[in-house]
Amino acid sequence: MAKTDLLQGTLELLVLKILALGPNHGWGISERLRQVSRETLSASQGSLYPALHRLELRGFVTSEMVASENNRLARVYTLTAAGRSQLETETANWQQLVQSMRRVLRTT
Amino acid sequence: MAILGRLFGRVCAGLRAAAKRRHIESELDAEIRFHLEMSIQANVAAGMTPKDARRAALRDLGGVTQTKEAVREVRASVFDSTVQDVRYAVRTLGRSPGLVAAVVLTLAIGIGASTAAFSVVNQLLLQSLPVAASHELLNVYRGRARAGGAFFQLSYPDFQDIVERNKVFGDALAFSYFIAPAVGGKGTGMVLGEAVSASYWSTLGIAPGAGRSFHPTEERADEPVAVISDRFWRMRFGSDPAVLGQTLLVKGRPFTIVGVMPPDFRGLLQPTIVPTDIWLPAGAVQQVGPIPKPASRLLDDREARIFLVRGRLRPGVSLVQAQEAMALLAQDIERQHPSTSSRTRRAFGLARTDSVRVNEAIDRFAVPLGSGVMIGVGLVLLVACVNLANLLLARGTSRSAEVACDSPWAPAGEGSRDSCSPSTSSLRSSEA
Repeated sequence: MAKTDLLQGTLELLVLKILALGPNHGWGISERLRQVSRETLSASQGSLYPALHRLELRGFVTSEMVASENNRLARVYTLTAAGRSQLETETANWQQLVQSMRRVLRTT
Repeated sequence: MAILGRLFGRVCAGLRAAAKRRHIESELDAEIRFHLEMSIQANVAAGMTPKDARRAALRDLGGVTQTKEAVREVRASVFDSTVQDVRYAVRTLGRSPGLVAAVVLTLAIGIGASTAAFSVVNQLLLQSLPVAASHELLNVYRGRARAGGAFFQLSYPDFQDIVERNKVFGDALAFSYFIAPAVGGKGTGMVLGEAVSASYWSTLGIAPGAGRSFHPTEERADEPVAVISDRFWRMRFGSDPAVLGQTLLVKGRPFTIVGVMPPDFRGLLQPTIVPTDIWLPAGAVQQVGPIPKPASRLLDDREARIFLVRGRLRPGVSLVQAQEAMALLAQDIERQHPSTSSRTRRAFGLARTDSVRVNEAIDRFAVPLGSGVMIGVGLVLLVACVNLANLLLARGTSRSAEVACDSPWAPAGEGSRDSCSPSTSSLRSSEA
């Protein structure tokens, strides 16, 4: 299957969804994204980090530097309560958008 | 408005610089490095040579420098959008000067009134003496404390009996007060003075800011010495550093200045209303005091009740224990020196110095009055805030159409924030 570029703005929703499963670092998030989308969705890994920092600045995730496997310092992100409710809102918005799109594409 | 905008720009530039502190940089470094290492590891595990694995990892990431720069831009843009919001707010406010005036005036009146009332109440009723452990200090009266407000002063022999024979006070002081003309330094004027025992400073646990206090041998004013307040030193002597040793004429009698009190100490008489200017030895009350009997030996007269007494409780002694001990002492004194005064005046009454605010008689209405005033102005401020909230709420409701932005067409994530940004909504309203 061909790889699909992510729609503008959907990366943050996906990141929130992945972090809802548990705290993770950037590499872990990108791996998980690859796995769960069965390799069809690929964020350019470079755009993942700005997105994570943006989410942190808006208070949807928090982060701290922790020593991870093989004793490397990694920044681990955790979803906040605000992030959880943002995830719900954004999910609802997304589904509404998909429905609208489907309706439009079907009628015209 | 443009000046304000530029000012905000500068402030935000400073904030941005602060946000780019070095630890953020080094953490970002570590974060990207970790990602690369994990990525290389995965590639090697998939069978690539280390060199290829590294190249592939870098390609997947899209460049280390580019990634870092993108993160930095995100961090900086938060401040940019803050600038935007602030500019928008300033612009909007500029468009409705009437509203701004109403808001500013309402807040100014509310805050101003409560601040003014609080500074008076604070000064009169809330400040405790600037002395060590003021909660240990007790006022000692003749007459039972709280008995219909009958408070009487003590005689100097009473004070000496208390000092010598009590077991509840670690230290005690006596002071009388006078208002007298004083000549010295830059002029002449009436001063409020306290004639005090030498134990005044040790009991309070304070020391003159400059010079010394009185020696016990000076208590009877055979050596005429004086300590002046910081305020008096500034006003009368122009903060002259050579004030010690100069002579002050009080009611025509010369006193040598030996000390200057620290600035925050305003005396014991009425510190919240009138600061004390000078301190003289207790014996000086015979020369400058309120009772014009220069010939009599006021300090030896048991009926000359012109001294106020403060005692510092010994550690571990309660107010009740002190009261009982003082009652016994009063009986003892009465047996030795039967007095002519009424029965109520023979007892000793005690009250915590901290609990007496303005003075024993005034407190009975000043304290409720002060609380009432504070509650009153607090309510005024509250009403002001409620009015403002209503005003702004009404305004917000009337403009809700202008800021409506959550259409189902708004893209999720990044976009939805932008579509709510003030610039877009104001654009939309101007198109409509």
